[in-house]
Amino acid sequence: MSVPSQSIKSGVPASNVPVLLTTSLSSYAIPAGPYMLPTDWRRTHLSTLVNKLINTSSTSQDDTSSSSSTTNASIPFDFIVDGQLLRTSLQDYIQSNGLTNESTLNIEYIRSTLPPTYVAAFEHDDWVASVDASKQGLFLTSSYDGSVRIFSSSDSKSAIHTFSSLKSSSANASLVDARWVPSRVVDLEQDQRASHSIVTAGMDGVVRMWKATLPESSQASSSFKPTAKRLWNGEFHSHPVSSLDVSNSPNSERSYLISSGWEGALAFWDATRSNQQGDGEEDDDGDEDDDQDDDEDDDDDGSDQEGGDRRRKRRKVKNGKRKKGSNPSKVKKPVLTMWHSSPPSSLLPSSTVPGANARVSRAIFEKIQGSSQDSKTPSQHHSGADRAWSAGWDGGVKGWDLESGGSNFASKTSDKVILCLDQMAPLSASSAPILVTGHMDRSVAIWDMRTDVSTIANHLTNVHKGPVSCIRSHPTSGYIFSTSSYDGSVKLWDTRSTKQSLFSLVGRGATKGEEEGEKEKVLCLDWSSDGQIIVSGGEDKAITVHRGSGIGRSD
Amino acid sequence: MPPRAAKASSSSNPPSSFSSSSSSSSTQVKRKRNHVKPAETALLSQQPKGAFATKTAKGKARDASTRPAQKDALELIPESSVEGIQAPDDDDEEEEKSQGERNGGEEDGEEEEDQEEFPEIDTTQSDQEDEEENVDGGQDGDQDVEEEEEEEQDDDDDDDQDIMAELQDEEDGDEEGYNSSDIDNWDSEAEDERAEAFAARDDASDTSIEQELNRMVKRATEKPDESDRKTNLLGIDQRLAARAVADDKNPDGSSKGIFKRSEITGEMKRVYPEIEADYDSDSSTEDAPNRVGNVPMEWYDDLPHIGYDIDGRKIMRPAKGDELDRFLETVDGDGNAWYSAEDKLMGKDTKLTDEELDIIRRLQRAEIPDGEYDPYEPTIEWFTGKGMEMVTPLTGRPEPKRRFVPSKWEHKKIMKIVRAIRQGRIVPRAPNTSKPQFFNIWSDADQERADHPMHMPAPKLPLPGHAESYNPPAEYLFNEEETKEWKEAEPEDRKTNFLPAKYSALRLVPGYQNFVQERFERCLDLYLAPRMRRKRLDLTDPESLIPKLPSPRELRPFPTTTGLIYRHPSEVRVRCLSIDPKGNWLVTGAEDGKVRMWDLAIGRCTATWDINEGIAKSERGPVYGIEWCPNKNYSLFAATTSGRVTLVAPPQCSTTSVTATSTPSFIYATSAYQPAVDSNAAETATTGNKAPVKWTRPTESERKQGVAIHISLHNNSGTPKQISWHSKGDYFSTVCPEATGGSSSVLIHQVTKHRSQAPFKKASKGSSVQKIVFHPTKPHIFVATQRYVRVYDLTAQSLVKTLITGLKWISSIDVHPGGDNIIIGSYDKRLAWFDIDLSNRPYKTMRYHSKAIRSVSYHKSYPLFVSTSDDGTAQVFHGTVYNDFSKNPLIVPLKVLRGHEIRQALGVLDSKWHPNQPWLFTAGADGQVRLWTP
Repeated sequence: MSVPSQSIKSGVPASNVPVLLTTSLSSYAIPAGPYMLPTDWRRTHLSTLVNKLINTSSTSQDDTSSSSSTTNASIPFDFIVDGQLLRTSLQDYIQSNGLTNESTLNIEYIRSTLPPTYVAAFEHDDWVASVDASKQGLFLTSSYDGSVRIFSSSDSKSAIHTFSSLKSSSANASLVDARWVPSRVVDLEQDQRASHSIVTAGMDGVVRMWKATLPESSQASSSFKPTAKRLWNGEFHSHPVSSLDVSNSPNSERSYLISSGWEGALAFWDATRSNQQGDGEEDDDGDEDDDQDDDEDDDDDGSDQEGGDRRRKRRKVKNGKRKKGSNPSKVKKPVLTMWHSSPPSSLLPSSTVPGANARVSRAIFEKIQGSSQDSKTPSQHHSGADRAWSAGWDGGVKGWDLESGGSNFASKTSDKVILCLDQMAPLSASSAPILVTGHMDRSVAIWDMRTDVSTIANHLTNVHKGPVSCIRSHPTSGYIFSTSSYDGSVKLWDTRSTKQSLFSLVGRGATKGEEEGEKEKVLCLDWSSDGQIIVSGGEDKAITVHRGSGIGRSD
Repeated sequence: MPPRAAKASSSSNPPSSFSSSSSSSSTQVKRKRNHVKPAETALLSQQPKGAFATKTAKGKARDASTRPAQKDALELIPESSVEGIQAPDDDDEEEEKSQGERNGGEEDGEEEEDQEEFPEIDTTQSDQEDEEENVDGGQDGDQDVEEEEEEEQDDDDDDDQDIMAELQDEEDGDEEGYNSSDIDNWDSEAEDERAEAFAARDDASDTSIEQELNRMVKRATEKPDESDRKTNLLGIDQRLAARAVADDKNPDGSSKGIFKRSEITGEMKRVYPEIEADYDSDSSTEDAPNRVGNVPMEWYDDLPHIGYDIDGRKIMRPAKGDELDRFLETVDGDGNAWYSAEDKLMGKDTKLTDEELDIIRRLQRAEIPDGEYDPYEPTIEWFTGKGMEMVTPLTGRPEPKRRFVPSKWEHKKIMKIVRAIRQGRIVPRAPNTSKPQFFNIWSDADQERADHPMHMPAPKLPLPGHAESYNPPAEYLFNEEETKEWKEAEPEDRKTNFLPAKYSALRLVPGYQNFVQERFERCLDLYLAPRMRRKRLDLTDPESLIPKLPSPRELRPFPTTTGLIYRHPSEVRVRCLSIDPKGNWLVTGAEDGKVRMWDLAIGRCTATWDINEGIAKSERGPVYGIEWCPNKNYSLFAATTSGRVTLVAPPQCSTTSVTATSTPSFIYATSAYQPAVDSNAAETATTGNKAPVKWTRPTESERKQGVAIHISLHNNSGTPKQISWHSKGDYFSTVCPEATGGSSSVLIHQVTKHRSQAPFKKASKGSSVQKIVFHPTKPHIFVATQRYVRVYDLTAQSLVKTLITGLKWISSIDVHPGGDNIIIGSYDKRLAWFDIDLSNRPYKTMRYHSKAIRSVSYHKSYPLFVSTSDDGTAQVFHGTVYNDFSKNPLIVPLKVLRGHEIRQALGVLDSKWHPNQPWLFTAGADGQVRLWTP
């Protein structure tokens, strides 16, 4: 075992400890067996050792040049011992955990990621309520001043496009969420220029669908005036909307929305624009009366089995809309409504009296493993519209089967006030959904929502110094998620090593207030679709972009 | 002979039991003894001590009576003295006695016969007796005593040391002077005994009688050999027994004299021998021929004689030489002059005998004058020592009653002791509390003092430490700085009153100059300083004093940390806050007169209203109170500033309507509005001046922001400081503590009818109303004045209860959602919990804040309450109210929340709970509102 020992301080009599090195990364497997390693080794030594081993094993196995790139570049690894990243020397770890040199250490190594670095900040006029970075090179933000801003990653000075949700200066103008809607869903009209669909949700309880035309990145911004056109208003929520999610199944031509409101209701919307939009009959979810009469809009999406069901529902919706087609107003009603918390006794759609702790903090579509037809991005996941998850202030996490008319198929509760929710990217197609939630009491929980798992949640307490405002899972890796907090910090986590965070991102305003509680709250957070860029925004009236490399890379 | 027959008959009587006869005899003896007593004592006086066993003839009468006792004595004594010879002696004695008794029995009748029986044995005696008989023959028997004496003498003369004869004599004399019946009885009994004894002996052997007789004869004829005898016939040791005396002498040694016929009178007389003056005899009278007696001889100085002899003849003064002769005598004489002394009585010098000289010499040497006397002669134990023990009663008196009756006084004394033991005043076998020989003068314990309640031991001085040592370790010595500091400091400020110094030897240590001063001060301390005795609790387990409260861990959730901070611009003081009933919005009222509405979850200020709009700048005031309407159907809050109450329906809370004036809350608040003039007129018309209140419509710009209505109070009604909504959301009340109008200090406003009224017609006496709270369920209202809380029934218009708080100035009040408990905070730092059903006094008064309490608040659903204070803390408590009426509320302190800064002596000014989360909101003077979360 040729180990570079020049960095080890000679003269210090280092005792050896048996170490078992394992990994889940098949391409970086090394011969198994315990290695006797000096106890004063640190992460870098171990990383060097693993690299050497990989090189020797790969060269011995096959001399083909397929892995030449990996052999040349040494790959940094991180080492997890007992759910904890090794940040000290082995000796210190052994001592702090009360172990002896005789005990064998089981160390799992993962690819190390460099901490993301600060890239840029994009100024806003008011607090940033949400950010969506799923579109390459564009950041969509909503702000409490009621404006939607679209930033190009290349230009940090000003937004490409800014439009206000409300023309009138109503007091309820604040926007809570703004999301990209897959553009193909919106029927592209004559203008083939870059046209984007955006859905917003605001404190007025209205979900709005917009069409925005943006200049191509190559075009000069001066010559082109971006526009935004409101397609429809979705009016259901009697209280402010707390979150919005968009399904982006690549197989479906249609896109769906789910929104959650403070009153405890979830609303399931069809994002598809249609000319005839009705305002009534939103309760056609469970009906089986009219079906199969209208196939005009149906595309063939028979690749999945549930396509038939979904089709039927869509038909239903269309029927409803068509019935009320006489009303030309652009008001839309949700396809489905669900009450996350027990609804008040007088179940009126316009009921203004919610139950206690009613607020749903977030509702999301379930992420499913992407179909592997596209080999380039095999690990790209998408949000299907079949099932949804919601979490609220009552501490409950619920799963909704939208296919079967919004029945609640899973439910777990805790005594925490859940402020945010996300689902980890599925590790495999068949893996059970794993949810992560952030709480008011500064903790994060990891939920295994299989019904036969008795443990409610794995709580990570005191992950932040303030309430966890937002939590987002990595788009590709099934282990990494990030949290933001009111204490102004953003942290990256690995579910395999939950005792400490991978990184803590220091934002732009970190130097502003060092004092505890003085930091400006981070309210929103998002990953770029490739999982290398983290965008966060909040009280500092800006979004901050951090770029990392190799985050969540599994190969 | 009849007596004999009687005796025989008596003897022939079947013998009664021995015990009965003896007892009867003893009683008789007793009687007799009393009878004879004078004689007995007389005899005793004559007899030599200890010789009572020797019976003289004189003791005849006595002997008869003392016989049984004597017999006992006789039987008892020899046992210890001589054993070998005893048995035969006893037998003999018995024999003799029996004989004597037999004789005595006969004697009663005929003395003659009695006498006649013995002369055969003792011839010499018989002669005399005969002679006596002859002499006395003619005399009458009534001269008993004389006769006895004579007989006695005769006996003595004739006895010839034969004690047996004496005994017989005694026995002879026994019977004299007694009733014949007595003697009969006695005799018969004795006879029986003897007969029995004799019979028993008969049984033993047939020859015993023969032998007995032989022995008697032998003894009577032969002189007993006394040489080797140590006991006399009676078995008494001869040393003890009276010595045998000569014939012509009485046992006491005196001569009997010779009984002979007088030559002169011809009568019989007793002639005693001449007494030879012996050493023992008193010769003083015989020697002196001069019989003048003990008179001063000077009387005879002038006379030729010096006195008279026994015959009355003058004794002439002997010739005496002059001084020269005397001198010559001493020089030339035979030397006797040196050994002579003048006999004053005889008037001549007498030569002193050698004995006299010896006495003089001995006197000079302070010795015992008698040269013969041996002071160290060996002790002869006459009556004591081994074998000399005698058991004799000192007196024959009967046992006094006190000997055998328990003494009452002793009983009393004993009972006294018993009682003392029972009460523990006397501890039997108490450990001996002897004083220690040496006292430990270094012991911690002070000298034991009298155990009385007022005793207070003097405070102890600390023991000297290392620093006081003459040779302390180096670290105790002062360095230069410390020495300088010590010297510069005032004596009162010094830590020690001396400078530690090091000496190599104790003898080098100088005298301590402050010694006297210190002693003096110590004395003053002891003497002048008042001391107090503290009752110390004797606690084995101090933990037991702590009430058993559940651990705060078990009472989760409760707020512990700051979750959010709602910062107000320029750190303006936040006076009040309120959370909307749905728990989404927070409104705060600040010192700058602005009301801000915050998104509770993210801490963003969404709206601001200046409720002082339209008021002149000089009259603008801070937002004193703010409160959401508790009706969940409406989003409406009321805020007060100086002279005005404003109702605001924030448009942000409503989603359905486009404009601020069309929200349901706004419509609800303004629906009853009538044109200003009319309403004003109607107001004054209906309510007169009681409620000087005007409901006015705000300006359009205000209305667009959601300001629904202004309620203006007239100037004299003061500033409404507090708002309290009724739970239904229709009524709310305002309190103006400084109201001058009195009645208008409390006003109740009705939103739906835009009416105001003053429920209390009269102003409360003395103190102004501080706070008002509505009962959550009943139509009651709690009115807190400075010191009291009064509960009024609004429908019955009556006072229900007055709660005596015991607080000096009530600052805040809140009602438990159940309605039966209230908490009251006061500016004097105390918090009082009232159980209204229990008492009108506080169930518990707690004082834990270091400064005035500003607000108290119950949580609506969790068993939590909080108090905030000017010390910058909010203290969270767990307060469970049980449905069971017998259980008192459980109050557990949970957490002290610190975070607010104190600005201008103001800390946390207001606090409210989230309606359905265990979240606490506190408003501080530092321009922050904090959200505290678990």
